[in-house]
Amino acid sequence: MMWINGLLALGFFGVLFLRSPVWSWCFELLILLATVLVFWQVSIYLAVCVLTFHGLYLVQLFKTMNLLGTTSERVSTRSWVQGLMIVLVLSGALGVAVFMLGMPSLKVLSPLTPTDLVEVANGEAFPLLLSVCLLASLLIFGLVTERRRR
Amino acid sequence: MISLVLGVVIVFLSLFRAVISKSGLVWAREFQRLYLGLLVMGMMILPHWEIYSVILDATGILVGLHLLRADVQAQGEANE
Repeated sequence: MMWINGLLALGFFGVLFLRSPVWSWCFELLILLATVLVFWQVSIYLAVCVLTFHGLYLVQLFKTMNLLGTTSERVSTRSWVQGLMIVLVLSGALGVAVFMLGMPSLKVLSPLTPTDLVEVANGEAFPLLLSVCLLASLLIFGLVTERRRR
Repeated sequence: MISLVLGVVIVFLSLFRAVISKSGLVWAREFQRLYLGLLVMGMMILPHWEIYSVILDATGILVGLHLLRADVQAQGEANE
């Protein structure tokens, strides 16, 4: 639970203090992710509902701000879509890789498997794993998009 | 408990930023965080809130989209 609080705090203070539009949108996504994880602990159905509503709203907000927004909010839609693809592909690949490493059925890898990876295989640490992967992907997305913007 | 405090902080600071801003786009963006803060607070106070939280959230998002559309319309009229 502590790490979800950490994600929430990080996302919020990122949005509050970073002026770059790319990082601002990244941390916006982070706040959404942390809220979804809070809901995940109660019900996956609720988490999916929250993610869908807020995801659609964020997309609409981003599109509108890009069309009408001031120069400080303007980020190229093309670079945004490309960045989003990087986030999805990287988080998916990282998630699958770590999940596979943690599977007890892979006996060859078992001597190298730390305890937390076994927890991942049991499904207990999956939200934690997902959030770490998404956080890493968001960081890469922010760095790539920010560099292209300059 | 920390989530509850964070939820309260998010709600109040987002509300403050929305109130001091004159831009409708900022309002729409701050309200997004306000709903998320409310959801986190609600979930911490009442863990069995469940479907009601989703109903509140959906209503909030509809209000946010309405704000956004109204702002787009107002900016269009101002441009004309």
